Amino acid sequence: MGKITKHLPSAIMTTSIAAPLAYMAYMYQKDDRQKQHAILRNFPLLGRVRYISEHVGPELRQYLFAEDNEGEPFSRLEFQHVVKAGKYNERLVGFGSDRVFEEEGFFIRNSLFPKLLEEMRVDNIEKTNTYKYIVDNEGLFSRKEHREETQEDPYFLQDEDAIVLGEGTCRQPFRLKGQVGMSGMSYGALGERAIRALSKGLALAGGTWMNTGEGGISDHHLAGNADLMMQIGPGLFGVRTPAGEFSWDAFREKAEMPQVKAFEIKLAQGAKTRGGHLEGRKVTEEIARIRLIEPGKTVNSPNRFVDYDTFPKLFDFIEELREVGGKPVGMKIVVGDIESVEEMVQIMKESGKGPDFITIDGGEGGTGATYQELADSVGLPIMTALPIVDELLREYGVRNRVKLIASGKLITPDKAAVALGMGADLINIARGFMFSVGCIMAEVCHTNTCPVGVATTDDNLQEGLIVDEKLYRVTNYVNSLRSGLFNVAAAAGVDSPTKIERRHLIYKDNQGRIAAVDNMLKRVQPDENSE
Amino acid sequence: MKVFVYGGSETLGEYILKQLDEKGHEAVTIVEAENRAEMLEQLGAVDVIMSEDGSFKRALAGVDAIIYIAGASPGSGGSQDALIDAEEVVRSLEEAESNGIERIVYLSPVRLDESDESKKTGGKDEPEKWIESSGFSYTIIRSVKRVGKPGYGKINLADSAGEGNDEIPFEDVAAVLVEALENANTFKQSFGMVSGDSYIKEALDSL
Repeated sequence: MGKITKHLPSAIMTTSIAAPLAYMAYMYQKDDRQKQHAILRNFPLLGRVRYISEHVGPELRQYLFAEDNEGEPFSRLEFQHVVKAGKYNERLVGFGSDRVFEEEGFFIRNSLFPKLLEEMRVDNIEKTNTYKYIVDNEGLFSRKEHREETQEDPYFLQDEDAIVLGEGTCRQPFRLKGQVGMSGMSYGALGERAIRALSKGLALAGGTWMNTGEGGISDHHLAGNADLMMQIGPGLFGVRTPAGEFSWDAFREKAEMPQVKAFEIKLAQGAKTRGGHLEGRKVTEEIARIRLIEPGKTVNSPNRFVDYDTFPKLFDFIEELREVGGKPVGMKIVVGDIESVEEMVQIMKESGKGPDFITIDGGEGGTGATYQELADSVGLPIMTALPIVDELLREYGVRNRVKLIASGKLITPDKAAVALGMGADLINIARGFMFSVGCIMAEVCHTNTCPVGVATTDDNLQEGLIVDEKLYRVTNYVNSLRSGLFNVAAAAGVDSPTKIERRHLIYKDNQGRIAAVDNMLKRVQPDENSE
Repeated sequence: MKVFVYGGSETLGEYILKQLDEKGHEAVTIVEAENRAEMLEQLGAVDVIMSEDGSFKRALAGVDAIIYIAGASPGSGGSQDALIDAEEVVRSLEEAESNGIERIVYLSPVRLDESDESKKTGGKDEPEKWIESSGFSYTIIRSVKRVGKPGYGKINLADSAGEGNDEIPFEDVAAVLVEALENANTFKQSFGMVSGDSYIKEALDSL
């Protein structure tokens, strides 16, 4: 007994020093002998600092070194605006703007006689019961806050201003009393908890929609009874036969679901004009059931609908979908080839056929996984693409037949308002909604290791995401966007955000010169006579 | 019952109009902006009159009772002195009295959670005294701070704000005002209320 007590301290000392030393020696020789990394061979052990720093770099830069306005895809401030709107239902800023006014960008032309709040055509009849956080006390190392129930104005459009998809073309048009909704996010790309929180939060907010993404309608999308827009991609997930053909029976079944309000055919996505590849090990029983594919088998989906390679064929398909389903059918595109878009519009005019809505995804749009070359350089950004489509539709006199949904980093009310002015009727948001359920921009969506349990199906990581907590943030975020749009409309002197037009916008360059934003098309297609 | 809601276009007013409609009353109110009128009609007001000269007199025609929200701004606290124009309140009530209206439910701008001094600033307690000595069949209600939270449907009658009991949801205040209209126990009564644990009807019946 005495012997143990006597030798114990020195034994502990020896192990606690010797063991790490031994480990370091082992690592040293391992680094020294390996042939893969030059830096480790030359600087064994020490070279590892490089890998550690590289690994935590994005987080460090974000928290410590990036300025408020820096950072892509979203600056620290943009991120904060979204998070605060969701968590604290608070959008006020103090002292002034942090925008860099010397830089070029769009500005809202405010009226010298803005509308009074009570002059706005808003519908706040049914209030929203939600929760928000209130900060009691904030110190350097702690923040004391509590959550309380609150009753908020939903900022719906009035009935006459509601945006209707498929008006006069289908048996069950989709009426929208709000202009912002969720862009396509599939189950699988996001985990079930994130999708559930989104579904419930969007349902509570009302007047909005949830795009299922091309991965089909999961039970999680249905969890909250939100209005769904089912996306159909070239992989035909959820509406396919075992052989991979389009299945009208499966489609009819989806169209009969009361939650499904519209269909969107995805021709392309801003961040990826590429086909899909779904690894066999990711195809669980559940995913297989939702997507109508075989469990455990790898699925490659093409980057185009195999059967529909011309507009007439595509439009006939749309007609048939609308006839069978009775619900509005739209299509999602990325604008790059302007002549081709013009051809589409021309055929719409000549055939009298076409989609009920067109979702225009800007090249800056997000995705869970793509290649850098496609993400960065394929497709025009939204503020260029949108006005081109809008103007072409007007030029051919078919603008009234189709609604435009814009997407691409439009996560704050001012950006959304600019898009409305540039021709959009509705706004699709994906990453803003990811922020509201906890995304911290770790940018590892494609690895299934999302640290906050949003873009992962890993059960352990998902434990961090509490549905009953995050759903209210989704609701508050939607409400805050709608309220913000009314704010901008009032400042521009119109009584509803549906009335924001090009004349309410102006573009300022980095030397302070301003330019009107109408006739974008004229600028890309100079007069033929002037040659 | 045809009820004129004074202050109907305020936030609290919206709740009152809606609940009056639900209880089968006909609500009348006055607004400043036309767009606002549309919304109040959708909420359930049968008659929304645009504010102009003489509109008050027109609004009172055929009315059986008045719900009067004085100084309804929810955020206004004890420190503000000119919460209401006391003389104007009395003038409009005199007008109502001369129109033969007998019943008034008056929501006081004086809050239970104010200091005694603050309760008198700007004469905001004056109209209550006038009403009590008038010929009206009145109900005068004071509450704690009114907030935009979902209603609980339960209150306690109280003369002062208790610990942790310093607010009451709009929905509940509106429910009390509407319930009081025809509840004989509230006639010729002045009382204060906070959020609590008795159902609104039971609480008012106990008066």
